[in-house]
Amino acid sequence: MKKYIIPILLAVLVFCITVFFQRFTILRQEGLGLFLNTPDFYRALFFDAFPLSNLIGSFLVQFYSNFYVGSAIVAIIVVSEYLVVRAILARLGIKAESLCMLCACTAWFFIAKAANPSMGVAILLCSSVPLIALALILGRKISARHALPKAVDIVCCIIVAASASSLVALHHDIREGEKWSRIEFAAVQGEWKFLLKNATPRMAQKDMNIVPYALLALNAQGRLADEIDRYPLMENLGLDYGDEVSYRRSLFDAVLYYNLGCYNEAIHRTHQCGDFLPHCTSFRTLRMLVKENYALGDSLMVVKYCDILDKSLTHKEFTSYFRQNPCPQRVPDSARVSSESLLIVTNDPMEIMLRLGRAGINSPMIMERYYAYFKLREYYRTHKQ
Amino acid sequence: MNSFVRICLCFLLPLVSCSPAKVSDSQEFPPIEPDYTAVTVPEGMAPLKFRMRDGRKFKCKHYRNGDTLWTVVTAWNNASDAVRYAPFPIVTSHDEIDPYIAYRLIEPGYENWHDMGIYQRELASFKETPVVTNLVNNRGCVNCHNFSGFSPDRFLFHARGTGGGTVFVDGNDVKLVNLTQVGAHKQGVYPAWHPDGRYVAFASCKTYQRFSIKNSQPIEVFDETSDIIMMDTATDSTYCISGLSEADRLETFPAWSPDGKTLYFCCAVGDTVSCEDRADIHYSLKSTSFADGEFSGEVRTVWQDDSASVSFPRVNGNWLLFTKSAYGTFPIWHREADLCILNLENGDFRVADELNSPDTESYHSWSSNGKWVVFSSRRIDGRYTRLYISHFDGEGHFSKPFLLPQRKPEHNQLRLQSYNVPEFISGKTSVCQSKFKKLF
Repeated sequence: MKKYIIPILLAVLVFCITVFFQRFTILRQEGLGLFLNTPDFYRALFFDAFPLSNLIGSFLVQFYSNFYVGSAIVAIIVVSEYLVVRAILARLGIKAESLCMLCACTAWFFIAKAANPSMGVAILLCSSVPLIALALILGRKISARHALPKAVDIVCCIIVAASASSLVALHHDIREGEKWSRIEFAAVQGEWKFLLKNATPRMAQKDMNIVPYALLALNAQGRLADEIDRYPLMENLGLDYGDEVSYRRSLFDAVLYYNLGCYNEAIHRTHQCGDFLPHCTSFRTLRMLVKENYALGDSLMVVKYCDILDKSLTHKEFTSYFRQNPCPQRVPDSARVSSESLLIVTNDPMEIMLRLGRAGINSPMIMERYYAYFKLREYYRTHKQ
Repeated sequence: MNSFVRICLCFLLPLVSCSPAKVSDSQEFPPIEPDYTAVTVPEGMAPLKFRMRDGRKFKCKHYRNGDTLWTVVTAWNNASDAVRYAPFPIVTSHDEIDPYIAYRLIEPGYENWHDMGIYQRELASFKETPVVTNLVNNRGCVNCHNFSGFSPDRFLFHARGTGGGTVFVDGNDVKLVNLTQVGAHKQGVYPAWHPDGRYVAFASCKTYQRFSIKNSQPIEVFDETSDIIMMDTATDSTYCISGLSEADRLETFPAWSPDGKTLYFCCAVGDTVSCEDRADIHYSLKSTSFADGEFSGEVRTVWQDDSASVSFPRVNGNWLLFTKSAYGTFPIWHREADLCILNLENGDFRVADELNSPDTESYHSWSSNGKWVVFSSRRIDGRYTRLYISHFDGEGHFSKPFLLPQRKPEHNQLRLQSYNVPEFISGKTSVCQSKFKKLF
C-alpha cells in the first residue's frame, strides 16, 4: 500500500491544480475537441499523424465538458506516466521515486500547455514502449541495485512536485490560455458580466486583443455607447478584429453576429472556425451551429447537427432540448436575393451595420453599435487634435 | 432454474418483445429514408440500405419477380402497433453503369477550408478512396477534376494555393502546369476534355462571392468577367478563341459533344458584372463547330430564355441536360435551380420534373453509355449536396432518382461535407499521393 501513497498524492495535487488554475482551459479543450462515432471521423483520424493517441485523446476530451472529470483525467494520465516510469526503472533495477516524479511532472507541464489530451496520451504511449521492450528483453525485474536514500528521495519528490505545481499555476502561456478560455467561454455562453470581469480596461491596456470582446459584452448589456471610452482605442479604430484571419476572429464574429441577430452570417463565421480545427469542426462549433440554425428557424439543420452530436457520448442532454422544442421550419424566400441584403466583407463597422439595418435586422445592439462607432470616431478626432 | 434455461430466456425474451404482436396492413409505400421506393438501379449496385423516416423498428421481406425486387416492410413502435406496408418495387436495369464515380468532398463552407479532397466511390460497394486530398498541396484547394473519355488514368484537376496550378495525369506521368504563365496567361476553371484527348476547354472567370444577411439562399456567387480558353496538351499552351472570349460577352461552362465536333457553352451579354446587376444577367446556351483543332462557323444560339440562366450543359447524343436557374452563373446555391432536358434534334425542351425537387439540383454528368446520369442535389436539408443517380431511357425520360447508397443509411445525415462535381469513371484511379506531393 505504501508504494501507492506518492502516486495518490500526486493525483490529488494534479487534480486540485487543474481544477483551480485550468478550469476553463479544460472546458475550452472540450470545445475544440471532437469525437464522433462515425465512419468519416475515424477515416479523418487515421489519415492524420499519430492516429492512436489522437483517437484516445479525442475519446477522452468529450468528458472534459465537466471540468472535474477533465481534471481527473489529467490526473490519471500524469499518475499513469509516473507508474510507467517507475515500472521501467524497476526493470532496470533502479529505485528513485524522484526521477519518476520528474518525468511525470514534465509530462504534466506539456499536457497543461497542450490544446488537447492527445499530447498526454502520446507521452504515455511513447513511454510505455520502453517498458514493453524492457519487459520482453529482460523477462523479469532486476532486483534493486541503485537506490537513493529514502529521505533524500522523498524530499526531492516534494521539491519536484511543488516546482511543477508552481510552474503550471503561474506559467505565462498557461495563464494566458486560461484567460482566453474564460473570455471565449463567457462570450459563447452569453455570460457578459463574467466576461467583463475578465476583460477590464486595465487588462485591455496589457492585451488589446480582449477589447473587441469587452466591447461586445458592453454592447450586449446596452452600455457600449456610455463606456466605450474606458477602453483603449484599437489601431484600426474598429470594434472587432478587422481583417485578421484566425480562429479567434472567426469565433468572435460568429458570437457577434449571433447576438446582433444576423444568423446567416453567424453560421458563415462558425463554419470559418472549422478552418482552424483538425476535423473542420468541433463540439463547440457543432453546438453553435445548432443554436444558430435554431434561431434562424432551420429545423432540418438543427436535427442534422443534433444527430451528429448524438454520435458522441456527452450531448444527449444538450440535443434533447432542441428535439423536444423544435423550431418551426422557416419558409424559403424568393429566389432573387436583393443586393441590399448581401453582406460585403469589409472592415468598416459602420458599413456592416448599415447593411444589416437595410436588410431589416434592426436589433438594439446594432443601433447602439452604430452610435458607439460615431462616438469613437469623434473621440479619436478630438483626441488627435 | 438451471443456467441453460436462463441463457435461452436471455436470447428469447428480447426477440419476443421486439416482434410486433398485431399487424395492420397499409396500402401505401413505407416512409423510408432514403426513399428507394420504385427506383431503377443498375445491376451490381451496392445494396440500397434504408431506415424508417420516423425511426421505427422494421423488418423486411423480399421477393423477386423478373427484374423487379419487391420489398415488404413491416414497421412498429411497440408490440401492439405494427404496420405492414404495400410492397415497393426496385427495378434492376440491364444497362451498364460505369463502375466508379469521382467527386470532391468539401465542407459547405464559404471562404477558407481545412480538409478537402477528390474521392472515388465504387458503385458496386461502399468503398470510397481518395484520388487526391489537399494534404498534397499544403491544405490548398483541389477542385475541377475532369477525366479524359471517362478514363481513370487520364485526368486533370486544379490545385490552388502557393505553387499551385493544373495537374495533368497521364498514366504514371504527373505534371503541373500553371495556366497563368503559359499562352493566354489566364487561369482556368470548369475544364472540358475534348473526346480525342488532346484539347481541353476551360472557362477563365473572375469570380466573387457575397453572403446573404437574411435570405434562405446563404451565398451569392457571380463572375465579373469570363471567357473560354483552349489548351493544347501536346504543347502545354493555352489560347483564346475569337467568338468564345469576346470583350462584350461572358462565356463559360464549355462542354463537348461526344463526337467532339461541337462545343457547347453558356453565354451572357455584358462586359463586366457587378454585384448590383448580377440578377439581370441571363446566360443562354450556345454552340460552335470544331474540327482538326480549329473552330469554324458562326456561334449559334441553342436555347435561350430571357428570364432564366443556363449552366452546366452536358451532351448525350441528341440530348442535352443543363441546369436552369433564375439568373447568374452559379446555380449551386440557387434553390430554384432545376435540371432540364433539351432535344438537340428538334429543340424540344422540358424541365426534368422527375429529377427535380423544391431545392437545388445543379452539377450533373452522363455515364459513358449515356444510360445513367448522376447529379447533385440539396433536397435533403437545403445545405449539404448529396448525389443522386437516375436511369435515362433514351427517349428524354428519367427514372426516379435514387440517393447514392451508403453502408449505413444515416451516413448522409451524419456526413459534414458536400459532394461536388460528380463524374463517372470507367475504373479506379491509382496514382500515388506521393507523386502529387512532389509537385508542390
